[in-house]
Amino acid sequence: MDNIRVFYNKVGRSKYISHLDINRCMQRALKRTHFDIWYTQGFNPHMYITFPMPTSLGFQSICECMDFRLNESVPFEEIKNKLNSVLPEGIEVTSVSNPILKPEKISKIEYGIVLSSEEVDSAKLDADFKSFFSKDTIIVDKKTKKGVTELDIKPHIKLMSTSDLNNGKIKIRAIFTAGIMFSVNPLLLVNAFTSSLPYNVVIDDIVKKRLITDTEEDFR
Amino acid sequence: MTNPKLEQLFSQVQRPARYTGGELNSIVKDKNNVNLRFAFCFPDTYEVGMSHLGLKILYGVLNNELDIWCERVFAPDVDMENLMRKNDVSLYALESLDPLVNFDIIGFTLQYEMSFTNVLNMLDLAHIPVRASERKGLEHLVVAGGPCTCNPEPMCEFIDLFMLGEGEEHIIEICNLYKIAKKESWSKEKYLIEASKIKGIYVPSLYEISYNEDNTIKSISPIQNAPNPITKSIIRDLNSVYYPDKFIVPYVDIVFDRVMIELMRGCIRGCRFCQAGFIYRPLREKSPETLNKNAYELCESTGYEEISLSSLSTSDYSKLDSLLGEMLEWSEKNKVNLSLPSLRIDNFSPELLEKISKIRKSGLTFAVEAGTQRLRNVINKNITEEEIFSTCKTAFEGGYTSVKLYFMMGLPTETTEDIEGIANLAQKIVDLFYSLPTKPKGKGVNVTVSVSCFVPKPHTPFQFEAQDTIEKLKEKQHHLINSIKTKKVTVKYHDARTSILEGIIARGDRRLSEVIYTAWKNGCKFDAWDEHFKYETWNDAFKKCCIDPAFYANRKRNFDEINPWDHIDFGVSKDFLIKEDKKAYEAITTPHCRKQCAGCSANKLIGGPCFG
Repeated sequence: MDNIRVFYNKVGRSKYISHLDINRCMQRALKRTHFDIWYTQGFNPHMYITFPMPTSLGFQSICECMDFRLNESVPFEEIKNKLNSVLPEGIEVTSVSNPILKPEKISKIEYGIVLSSEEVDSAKLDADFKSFFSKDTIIVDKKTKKGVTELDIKPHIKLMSTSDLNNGKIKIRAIFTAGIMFSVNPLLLVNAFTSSLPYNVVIDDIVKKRLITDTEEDFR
Repeated sequence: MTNPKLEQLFSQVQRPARYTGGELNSIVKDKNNVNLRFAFCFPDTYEVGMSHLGLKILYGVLNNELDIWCERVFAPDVDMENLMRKNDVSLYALESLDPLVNFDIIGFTLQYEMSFTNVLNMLDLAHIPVRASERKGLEHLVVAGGPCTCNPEPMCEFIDLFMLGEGEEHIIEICNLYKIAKKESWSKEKYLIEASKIKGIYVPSLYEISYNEDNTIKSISPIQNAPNPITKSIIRDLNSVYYPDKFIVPYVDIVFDRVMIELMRGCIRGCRFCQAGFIYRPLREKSPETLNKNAYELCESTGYEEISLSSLSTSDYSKLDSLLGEMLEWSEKNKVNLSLPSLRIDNFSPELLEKISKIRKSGLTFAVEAGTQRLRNVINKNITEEEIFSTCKTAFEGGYTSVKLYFMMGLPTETTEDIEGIANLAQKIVDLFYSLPTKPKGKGVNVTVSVSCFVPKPHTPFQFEAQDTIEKLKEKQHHLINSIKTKKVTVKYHDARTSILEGIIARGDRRLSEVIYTAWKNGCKFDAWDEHFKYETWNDAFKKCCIDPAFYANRKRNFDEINPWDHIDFGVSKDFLIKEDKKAYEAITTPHCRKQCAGCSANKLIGGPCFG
């Protein structure tokens, strides 16, 4: 049995596919490849697929990750090519390997966020974001299973850069705490920022860029 | 395909993948390289519409033509519709995301009467005038097909032409004619007159209807030499007709999310209430070889894990054993499940049960339809109590512990005794379970009784019958619930108000167009959805239009009355329907078509006997 880890992009229209739907979509794609996939051996056998850190509906991603098992040995390049030949628009496998790290190792995610406003120019938006982020604390309401709790997200965000894209838009690159037990969704930051403003802001794009481990490595 | 304006809406709605397109196997062409753009519209949500086999077939038929691009359009859910109206976004097709006004032909499928207001709503959302008379030019011609075209009269005000019967061939013919018309700049009137010469095409504006003082129809007169009657189209050989080798694979979970193969069209049974049993006649089967090939190709191209063997009565397919044998050879190995909907209780063999149970256990559902043998004879549902018990016994011994039974109430000649018969039958099935020494150990039984309200439909022997009033139906529902004495039996029933409205529209005439229009204007849409159905608004619409619903629903019609659909020929003759209705009152059954030809005259459509 061969454990396989696939990294793929989820871009364009495919960002509107929910995680549950991606799961089904991937099972069907794997079925179309005719690889000998390992099924669970229970009363109701099903393909064993896991997603170490699935992306929220509406975000693009260039670092999606999926694990499954093969009963046969297939060259990684062949898995990649075959999967890409059967996947729908917007979903593309970028690399295939055996898993090296456990999903628990993921502790941070880098996101790229693009914002704009019809009411102010991007220089003003950029300046406003910088001043917003310079605050000592950013308190938000975070919904958990136990209800809504107040949370200071500032310690969980490492701002890499903000830049004025000069087309009316600004781009924010930042690393957010993430993991199986606790994650900070970039929308918490974006919504806290936009609700502090006297004008309306449009979220043009949020892209998940990189999974990072607790030892600052790329997740593999 | 991207469209920033739409993207802003996607992020605000439930299940946005219904509105984005881009699914596997959806077909994208270069719009500059096609001569005709066809918008195939299903007047319900994506989840319902994408489950429809006819859409999959006709999408493939049209897109097989190099110079035609057919795209899909569904009714947006209420949250999406509100955002579209607020942001001035016009209804668009899923492949190109282009608005419907860019299309040549807008085609609707009319699957059930309760979707009619959605047709109007979709045209309106597309900024296309809903009334045919307000669409002057040839552009965005609005056409419609589907089973409801067997009485399309209530929709005549809105639709330019109807395609009667099976569409694989004539849909291409109307497109080819349209291409010529466009090239030669014909008027819409000229196009419609020419189109009316194509077999199965009904252009309502070419027929004048006059009425008697008692509101019944006096005459139906064709003008411009339009045909009378208009006869439905039919595919003689199902083995040679197009069938898709690819289905679009949706992202969201749709109602029937699986491969479907079509075993046959038509039904041999002739249950007197069943419209499908008459309008798809005569029976034509596909060969097991063709079906096996269809199933295999579709599994390959979709990755689906389930195949449904569809037809009106799957156990009547004459070569079911050999088909299942061929399919199980590869389906088991590929971990693909087979599902057999629409099994009949009288030919459900232990061997068949064994073949199905090899795959996966789900519930068993049987359509018994009526509670007593007398009433089952009236409706020509040729099954006996013994057959029901022996099937349930087989099922219980095979490990099943729940059975679902379908019934109708409000059937012609029905009495209190027939209603009590439903409760008695369910009780006897419960008793049967506990009497079996071989029953599954440690488990109770659950019998679900699902009761719908009978709706008389055109082209059936009961087209002449009066429908029960809402009060009467409610009374019967109460009586049934009071007759159930055990918790092992669960009763489910339908909203009688919806069934009455369905009955009115099903047998309606052109004067109902105004009622449909008024109801829609006042907010009716998604009438088939309980949470959206606005009974009072419909009632107001009838009042405003001075139309008495009881005239359509609750009145017994004379055999010599001209029905609104009498110029529409779906193969079965009116004389045969009258004969069958008379036999119903004597509780005399008619044997199924394989046993003995009943002389319905539908075989004229294929130019000879149905069998042999």
